[in-house]
Amino acid sequence: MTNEELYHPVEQPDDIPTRDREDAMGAYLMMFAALAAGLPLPIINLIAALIYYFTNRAKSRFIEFHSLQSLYSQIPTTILNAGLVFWTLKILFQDGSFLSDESFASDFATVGDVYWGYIYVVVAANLIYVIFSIVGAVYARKGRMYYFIFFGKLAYHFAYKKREESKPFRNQPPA
Amino acid sequence: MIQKIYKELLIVIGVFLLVWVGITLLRPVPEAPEIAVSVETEMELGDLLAKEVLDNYTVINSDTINDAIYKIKHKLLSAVGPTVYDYSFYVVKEEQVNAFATLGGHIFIFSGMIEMAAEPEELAAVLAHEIGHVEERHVVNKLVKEIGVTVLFSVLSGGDPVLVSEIARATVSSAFDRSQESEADQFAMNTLEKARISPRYVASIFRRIKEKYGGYDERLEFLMSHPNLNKRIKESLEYPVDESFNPIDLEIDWEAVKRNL
Repeated sequence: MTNEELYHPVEQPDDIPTRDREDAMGAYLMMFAALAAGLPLPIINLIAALIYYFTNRAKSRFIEFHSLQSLYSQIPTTILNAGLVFWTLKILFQDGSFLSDESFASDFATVGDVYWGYIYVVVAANLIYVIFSIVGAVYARKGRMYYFIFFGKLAYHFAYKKREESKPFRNQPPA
Repeated sequence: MIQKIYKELLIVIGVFLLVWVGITLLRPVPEAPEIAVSVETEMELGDLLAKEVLDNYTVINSDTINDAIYKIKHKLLSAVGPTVYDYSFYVVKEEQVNAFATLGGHIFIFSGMIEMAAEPEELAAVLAHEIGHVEERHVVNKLVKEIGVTVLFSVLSGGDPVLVSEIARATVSSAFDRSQESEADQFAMNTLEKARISPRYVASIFRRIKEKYGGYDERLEFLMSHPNLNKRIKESLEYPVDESFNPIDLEIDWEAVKRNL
């Protein structure tokens, strides 16, 4: 089956009303407020994203796509942040060391090296997420599609895939 | 479309793991701040700790052993050159294979270590390694990192016996980090070469330990904070020695030393 048969066509900028563009942009911008609020508890922003997605997805496929893309792209960041918070608390409360010399893998690295390596990756992941979200918000405001690596295709798949119309249930006379 | 999604997922996970491994290997770990503890303070603390350690062990007083240790100490310290530390070596009755340095140049050698060393030069290699830890100020930095400078200083003013004993225990039991061990090895080989003792004795004592304990043993953390003994043996064997290098044997009756333990 061709792409056209499997997916609904994507809207063109001229066809998207300003209201939809603003709602789509909101999906990205709302994350920042939620991200700031959820810093100590990295799960709050994910809950906010879910609520935003469920309240806006029915408005249009364009909004659904951007809300989904924003939601999906923050799942890994949230998991990474939660991992960092958990690891740090574990060190603090279990009398560990931020510069632990314990061997992680023989002759490869110490636990301290791996922990600090993880911090840098998490910081980088958050920065990339923020940059992409800003770009996504700008594109959405202009009524354009913008596909992040992996998350873009995934969001497109779920927002634009044609669903088989479920047949309405029909009562039958007794057999 | 689904295939493309999986492909990109693999790319994302792959990049994430590669970056993590890459950064980990670059070791971006911040250096622990080295807090300045003056040598005088370190010596004062060292005397306190040495007294505490000596209370817990029996020092072997034998002229034969003292002479032997003096000869090794003299030879090594002549090679080290001018130093701010006033070194004291103590041989204590303990079967465990161990040797460690506390603050201020007090170095303790367990009788088990002497028993294990086949030649006095092997003991010299261990002592040169311990002198390396003192000279590079690893001992004081380790204690500052573990116990904190405030507690260390508080001992000086009050001399709380429980605290002193706690710090003494930390000196004996805790390990140095990998880079510090490597620095002490390099220091030892360098010193041995200058003292006209073959630096290969570092490898030979490591190998003896490895043969006895089969690689890694918790009790030997003084020599191997990490199970990388093979690497350290290799480094010692690869240490470049000048062709004209002519080692001079330590004139010590090693069997007599062992008999007096």
